[in-house]
Amino acid sequence: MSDPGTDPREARIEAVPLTPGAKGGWRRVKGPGIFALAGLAAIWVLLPMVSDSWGIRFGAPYRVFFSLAVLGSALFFILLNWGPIPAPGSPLTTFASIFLVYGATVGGVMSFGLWYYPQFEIPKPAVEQARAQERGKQAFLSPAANCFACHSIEALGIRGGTRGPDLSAVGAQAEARKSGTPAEDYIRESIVNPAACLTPLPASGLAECLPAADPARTYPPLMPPGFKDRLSDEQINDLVTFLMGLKGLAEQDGKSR
Amino acid sequence: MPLDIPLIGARTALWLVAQIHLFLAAFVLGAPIFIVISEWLGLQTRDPRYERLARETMKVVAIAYSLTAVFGVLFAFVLMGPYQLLTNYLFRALYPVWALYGLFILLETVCMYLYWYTWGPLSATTVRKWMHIGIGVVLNVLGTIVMLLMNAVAGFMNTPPKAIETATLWELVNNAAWWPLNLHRFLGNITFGGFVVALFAAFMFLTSRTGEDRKFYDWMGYIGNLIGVGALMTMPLAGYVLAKELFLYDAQLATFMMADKLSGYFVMQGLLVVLLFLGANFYMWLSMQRIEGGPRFAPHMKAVFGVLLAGGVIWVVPQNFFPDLLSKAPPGVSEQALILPERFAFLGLMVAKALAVTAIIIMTFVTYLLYRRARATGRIVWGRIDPMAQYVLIFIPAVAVYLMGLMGAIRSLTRMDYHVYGALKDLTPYWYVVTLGHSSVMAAITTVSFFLLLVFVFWVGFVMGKAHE
Ligand code: HEC
Repeated sequence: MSDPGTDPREARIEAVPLTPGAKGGWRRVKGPGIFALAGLAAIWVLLPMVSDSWGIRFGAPYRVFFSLAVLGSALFFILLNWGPIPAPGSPLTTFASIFLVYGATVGGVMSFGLWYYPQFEIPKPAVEQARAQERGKQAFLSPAANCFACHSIEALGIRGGTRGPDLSAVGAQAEARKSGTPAEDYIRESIVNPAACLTPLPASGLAECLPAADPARTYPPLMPPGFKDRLSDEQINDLVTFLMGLKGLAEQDGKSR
Repeated sequence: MPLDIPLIGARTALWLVAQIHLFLAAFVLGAPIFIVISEWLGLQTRDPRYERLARETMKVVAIAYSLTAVFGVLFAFVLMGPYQLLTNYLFRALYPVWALYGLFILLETVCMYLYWYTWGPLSATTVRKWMHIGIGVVLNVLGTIVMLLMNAVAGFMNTPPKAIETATLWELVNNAAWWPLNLHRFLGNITFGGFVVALFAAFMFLTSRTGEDRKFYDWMGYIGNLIGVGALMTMPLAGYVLAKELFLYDAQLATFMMADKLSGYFVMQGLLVVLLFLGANFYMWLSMQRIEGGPRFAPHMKAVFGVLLAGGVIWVVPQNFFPDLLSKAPPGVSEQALILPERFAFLGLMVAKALAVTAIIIMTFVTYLLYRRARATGRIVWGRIDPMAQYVLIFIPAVAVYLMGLMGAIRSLTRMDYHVYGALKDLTPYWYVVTLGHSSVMAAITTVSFFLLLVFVFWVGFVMGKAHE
């Protein structure tokens, strides 16, 4: 390290403190430290107390977010008050410190990603719903239920029978079938008690179902009763979830498989 | 699938080599843009620092260039093996683009070596210097053409024309994402180049032993960071243009990206961008030390910092949080969710995020104005700076490189289970969209690998050479 002709003073890095008032061990952490403690207390003690009464709620991930922000800010100001830091002396410590800063930065960001994604990646109900829909589809195609013997679902490419209506948009149409009855309940009724209300023929222009068969306006009452006994409650639930998801060609086409 | 790669699998292998290739490529494309400008400034102002900055950065580019090629070849290998289907498809659809790519890569390489090796011989007279700058300009033109060609391929994979069977070659090239991608990558490369220069300068500052060198590298780090931050300020807008174009192209793809499976990536993007701007401001505040009387501006930092933090918080408010008017929160998400009164719904909208990022940019601008103000009243003493500032110049590139890696993953993953969206299905076992957790690990591995390569380049090019002088 002793280059001839190099002034030994040259080898030192000159620096002046940025915030001269904040020198001394304790004084440089005091402000940020108090801020951090107060912030954390507010997030973990006060927030849960007020939030319910005000109708707001910060789920755990958000409280962690805010805590990170508070701690980060405190660290930020501690660092700012700290300087000037001593420069590393030997080439080894220089390299090591450079790798450390770079590695810690990348590692920190990566850990955030690892922590973060399970919190939000896929909202759990959506997953559960997707699974139920898939099971419902299997039940629809299964020989035990035999729904496809009479029903097609053009939107999904299911070319079944044509004695019953095409169910491509049943989730949307069911809204208007029976006034006062939610779509889900109507679909359930159509399966367990098909004769209760008969689907109008597409040519009739009607949206509502009719209580009695009418060859000019409704499908014939061909759908067999007794699915309530032949299928389990879970299967019927899955079928309903599956059919509720069928909202017509417009939304089904494109990229879905 | 014809072939796989043992242990890590084809996708991981492709990811690694392609990403490192792209990092290196971004640097060797971005840096020459301001190298030439700096060389020209050196000629204009007769300030020898510009010339030295240009020349030293170009030395890094020259060494990194071969590494870029090596990783390009590895990238091609993986494409040829496990991703044969895709490779064939792309060659068939776009063969003139590939032919031109080959040609222009060759021309660019020739020009790059010419530019680097004629630096000494062509610096004797002003006329010769102008010739040399001319070569540099040609190098940039060629580099940009190479980038445009490859962006056409990348854009094609993301947004091929809907009527793909009947589309002309020009329609395949000039696809929806092409120009937004060109803009985004051009600005991104400058940002990237600037930050890598800052990283280089910090490395050199910390390893140099004379005050003279430190004076120079302190200045160089400042300039590199200035270039990086300057270009960074335009990036949110360029990103917005790209996202908007994707929306117009196919709403399903865009929703998948912004509001569905990939939306978590954007929260992370927000965090990284805020970290970048915080780092940039932190560096500028430390920079005040170089100016006589500069530290008296320190108190303004708290206000700037407050705005940056508020911007960051707005960024993490999800678009689909639950308003408190819901009769019952949907089961399963209730514990995690954010529930706010409905009048705060705007916080989740794009407008709020755009405002937040604008405020962050403006505050960074204010920091630079304060620095200017300080400079007007006090003398700058280059080299008189807290070494911490140099570590900040290492922190910023680390975040910037990582951010680029993660954003690249988004661009690639928006294709869902397609190689070429809507046209060519991904039939490998790796067709699925990975989680953010997976991507953040991959981004970390590539970011660190890139850094190791860079340190190798710095060491071979500068530290080793010095030891033997
Ligand atoms: C033997 C033929 C047949 C079978 C098997 C059959 N259906 Fe039907 N389905 C019909 C007919 C005919 C109608 C129209 C008359 C009616 O409403 O009962 C109908 C109507 C419906 C409707 C109401 C549609 C609307 O738009 O209002 C639903 C829902 C339905 N079926 C579901 C099912 C399911 C689920 C299965 C299997 C578990 C099934 N069907 C099996 C013939 C059948």
